[in-house]
Amino acid sequence: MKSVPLLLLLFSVLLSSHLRPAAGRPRFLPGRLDGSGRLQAQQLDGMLLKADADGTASEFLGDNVLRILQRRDPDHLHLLPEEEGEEEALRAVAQLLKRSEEPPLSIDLTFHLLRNMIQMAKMESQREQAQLNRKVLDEVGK
Amino acid sequence: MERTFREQLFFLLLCLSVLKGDSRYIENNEIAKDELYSIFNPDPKRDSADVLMYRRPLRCLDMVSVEGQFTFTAESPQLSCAAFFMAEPNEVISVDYDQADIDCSGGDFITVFDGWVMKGEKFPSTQDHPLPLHERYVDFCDSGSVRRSVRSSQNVAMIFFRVHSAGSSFTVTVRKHINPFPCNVISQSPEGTYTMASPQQHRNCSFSIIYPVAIDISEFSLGRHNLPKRALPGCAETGDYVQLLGGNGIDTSKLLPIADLCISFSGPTHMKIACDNTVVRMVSSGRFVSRVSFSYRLLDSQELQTIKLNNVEDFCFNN
Repeated sequence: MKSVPLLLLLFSVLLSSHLRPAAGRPRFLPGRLDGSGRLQAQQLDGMLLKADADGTASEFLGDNVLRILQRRDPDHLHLLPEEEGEEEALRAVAQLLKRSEEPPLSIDLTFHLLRNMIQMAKMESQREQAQLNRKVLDEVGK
Repeated sequence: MERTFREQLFFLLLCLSVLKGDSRYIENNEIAKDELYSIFNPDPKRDSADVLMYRRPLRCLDMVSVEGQFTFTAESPQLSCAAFFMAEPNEVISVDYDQADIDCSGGDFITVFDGWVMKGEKFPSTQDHPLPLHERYVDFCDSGSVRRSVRSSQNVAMIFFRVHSAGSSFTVTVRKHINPFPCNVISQSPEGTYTMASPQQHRNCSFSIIYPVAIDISEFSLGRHNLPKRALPGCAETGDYVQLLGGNGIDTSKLLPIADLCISFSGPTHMKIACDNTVVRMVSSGRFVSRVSFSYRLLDSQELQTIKLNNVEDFCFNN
């Protein structure tokens, strides 16, 4: 019976050593809105997406975002003093707006160039696989 | 007592390997990828994973289809850089930030995109991708230490980066992982065969061949609704169907439909599509398990010329 708690301990140690952080979505906006501000964060996301899709001016976006922030219960910013917390949130929103004003990320490539790049990458991959095979066979042969 | 303890230990090991999910890879030949087995390895420990890791500098415009560690070092300000990552159709890509010495507040950024973007067009299209568009961009400066690893949903991914000062650098490790249910795929080569299956999910999957090709659809088994015989519906009403699309961009929602296939023919369906991008798209209602197999080969210049001369509609020959 002594072995059972030891087993459980070993089990939990081995299992926890293999936990990897899940590749989840970022929970927080740059403004560090806490969990209770998640609804506002989702609304913000929705509006940013709309703005991105429409290409409308950021003034509309800015007004709505400021309205949402004013509606928020100031108790939610309990980590910082009230005035500083609001300033912090406004600065973060301004940063978000600045990013959304930048042109969406893209690159102008022709298909011809893309195909050449794929071809070169494939050759590199084959060369690397050949090197790896050689190393593995060297190890095995020792 | 000792025997019971040994049995319990073996059972524990079995549970552990099942939970980790890698039990089917026990026999692969990759050296020292598993820390767990190295604990029980009596041989002296060597950092062979490190020795076998492929490393090279990353260029401002780059294409990577091999696993490894890539370091970008700016010798001068580089404001528009992109690196494309590509894997086999049944693999997904993960990008891990190992280190990043960039000035986020100064306008530097590194953004991973789940897919490819070219000339503003995205693959997979916003309709075909499981995530909303804003979640497909993961900015290192926004998530920072929270988000060190990004995994793509298909066999292609890319990073955009910008550094303003010489000497800034970052390192990413690119790994490939098996995807048991590939949906959206960009083909690495102009020739090959592929079978696309929809596992009874309501999602549309695209296989994109960025070459002008001749396609042979050899077999499809598509789920169909039971409709009265008198009705002559289009493909969309019959159930799952296969679309052939062509065009000059990578966004499948902006390509032109060439054919919709939903009724089995006797013998293969053969088509020559002289577009820069040829896409086989399975439209799946989610009610059936459907499958389509096809092969494709590059069109040579003679065939391209013939098609160009014979076609009245040359929507793929503008520019």
